[in-house]
Amino acid sequence: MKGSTKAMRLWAFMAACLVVALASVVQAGPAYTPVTDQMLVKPPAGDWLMFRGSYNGWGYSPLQQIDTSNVKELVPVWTFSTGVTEGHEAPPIVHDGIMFVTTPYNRLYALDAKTGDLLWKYERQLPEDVFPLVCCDVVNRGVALYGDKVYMGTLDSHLIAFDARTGKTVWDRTVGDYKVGEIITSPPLVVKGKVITGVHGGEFGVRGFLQAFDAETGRSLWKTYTTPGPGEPGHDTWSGDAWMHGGAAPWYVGTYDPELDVVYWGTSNASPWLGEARPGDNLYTASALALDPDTGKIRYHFQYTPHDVWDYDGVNELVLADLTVDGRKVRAALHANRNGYYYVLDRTDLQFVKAMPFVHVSAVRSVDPKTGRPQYDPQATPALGKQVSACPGFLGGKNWSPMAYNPQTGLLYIPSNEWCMDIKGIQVSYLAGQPYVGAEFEMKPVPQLDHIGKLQAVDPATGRQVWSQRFQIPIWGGVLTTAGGLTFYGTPDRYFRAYDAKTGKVLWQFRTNSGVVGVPSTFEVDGVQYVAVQSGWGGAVPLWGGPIVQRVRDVPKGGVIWVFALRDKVR
Amino acid sequence: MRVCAGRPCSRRELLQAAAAGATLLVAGPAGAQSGARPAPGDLLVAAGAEAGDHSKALTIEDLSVDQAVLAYPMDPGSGTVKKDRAALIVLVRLQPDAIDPAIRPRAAGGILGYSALCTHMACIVDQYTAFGSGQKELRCRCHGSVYDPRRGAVVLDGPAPRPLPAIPLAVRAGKLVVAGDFTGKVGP
Repeated sequence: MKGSTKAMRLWAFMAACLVVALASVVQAGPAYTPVTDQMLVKPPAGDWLMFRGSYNGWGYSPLQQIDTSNVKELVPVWTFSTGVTEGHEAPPIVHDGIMFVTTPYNRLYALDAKTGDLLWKYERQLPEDVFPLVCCDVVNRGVALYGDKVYMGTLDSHLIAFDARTGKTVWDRTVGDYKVGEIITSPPLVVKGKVITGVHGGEFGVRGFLQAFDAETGRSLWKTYTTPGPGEPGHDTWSGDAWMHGGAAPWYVGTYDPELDVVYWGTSNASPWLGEARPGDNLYTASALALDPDTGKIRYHFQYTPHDVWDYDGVNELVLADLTVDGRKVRAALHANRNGYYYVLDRTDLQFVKAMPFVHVSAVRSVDPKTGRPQYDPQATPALGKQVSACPGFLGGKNWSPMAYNPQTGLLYIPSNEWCMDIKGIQVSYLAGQPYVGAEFEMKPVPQLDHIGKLQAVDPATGRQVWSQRFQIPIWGGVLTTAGGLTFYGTPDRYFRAYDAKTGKVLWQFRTNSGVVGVPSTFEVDGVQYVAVQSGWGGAVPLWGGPIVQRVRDVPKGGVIWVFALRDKVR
Repeated sequence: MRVCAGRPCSRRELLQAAAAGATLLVAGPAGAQSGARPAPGDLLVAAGAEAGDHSKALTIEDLSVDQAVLAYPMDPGSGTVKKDRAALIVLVRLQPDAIDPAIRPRAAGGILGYSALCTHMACIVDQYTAFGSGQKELRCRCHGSVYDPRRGAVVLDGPAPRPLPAIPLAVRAGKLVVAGDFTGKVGP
């Protein structure tokens, strides 16, 4: 043994050198330019820096290498199997040639956007008792970028900052109490160094809130509840203590107008669905909020569905675009609501401009043309022990699936569903961590209608439909549109398609591994434009679709990231 | 205390009052995980606070036909109630001829027992109501799974991948007792 000591020392020295070398590779990571405020305000054309690509929520890219003339030459360049099932709803976020993608169960992958090489990964160990508290699948809708960090919210209600180069956790903060339903499923929005996130829990009786954290340190900067407490404006729209478990969960991600310096965020349904439990309009449930990003103060609001009893969340995005509406220039905020109405608001103060149905609607009989306040049909309004049929069903004329706006065509692309529900109010009492709904319900198709899903292009100023693509199945993914005159969209029948953005004609389609409920993005690396999307069936439809699930019951599960480019660019 | 007609309610009245709400009741945190499981011979006690005295073992007559109750097993010797999610049982009393003949041997006096943990995400199956299908079914409120208690808790709707495991029941000395193990894996 004595004779081998020298050799062992040599081996130990070499091993140590190797460890140091590997560690330095990991620590150094790839080259990465920090994301600045200026980049977020005006994203580099080749990047996809946030959930919708830009603060205005357009889901639009100025890239045009792939266009209507050559899109038929689109081919897969690389794929990456995520190893998990359930709904893959996140867009691939790309900066400096690095792609950051999240999957169900809070897995986060950093990949070389050109080659698909794995750079680092994070797979969160979630507590088992969180799963019963996630209403609508164990999804995550992606990350936010700022500086040299990547931010992800988790199902167990943490907000985590990772080093973009190495994946090392820089800070980790608890946002809410997941055991009462304060769960995070959507990416945060970063504004001027503040990482802003909301929580879900409208079906668990949370008191919704938005919270901002310092991007560098993770220090909490402000927290704004979305149901007003005693003494706060709007508290008189509640009775008794109902506001304490009143919902208004801002579970999706907001948009931002840098000129007005206003953040826009939507809120969920009121809790419980049973209206008798909470007389009043119940601010700020089912509403749009305009907030000061520095303080979290609510500057303005607009409530789409006062005293909602149908689960008509108002979380859906506000797309910010300047339009001429009825001869008047409007700094508009565009919104397609769960209640089936398309709204144009003035984003300077969230005043109502106009609204019209974009799907079959029965619960909201009309909308006041001056105030935007809806009038409800009593025959479609459920109550304790009273069963009604109402359209849209609770999954909404449009759910979270983001629409896109193309400034070249001037069209808004809305992923919508035509469906109804039977619903009846039942007794319920609040118990922390238990569903707090107070309704029985079942989704159903619109009678005599031959489709459910409808991707529709509309004139955003009038709501007039210019073209539509109809599907017998419900659709659940987000829309991408580009300066190449294209609109990309994936569906649960495994297709990922490119449409002529002007006419709706299918120009290209590809059959992926699973149903697509993801949000496509596009980016450029070394002069090549890529289009990326996750395919992985899941989300709320297979959980809550009722008899409609039969139409999609055989969709195969399992997630894959797909990246496409033009054939002659990647030879 | 709930009062019925000017006097303290009987246990059956309490159970019926609990069942009148759409949600079956569990007292205290049903999230406890002690590892305790039902064992043959265990008595059954109502899990709902409104149902009152936990020390009183359930009898067939405590349930009306077409009523469901959540219950915990109780060790007959020590009187220890096994308050554990995985031990929670949903009891359903049915007309005996409504029960699938293949599973009738598991029933006692028309009462069937199933694990109350949904096989999807381990929520408590705490609704027994009629909606859509027209007859009462066991429902999970978390993600909408629906089970048919008459046919071995087969999945009628929703994301649950398999039926609720059943637990055989019997009657001893007039009390409902556990007569065997769960027929399958409890929970997801």
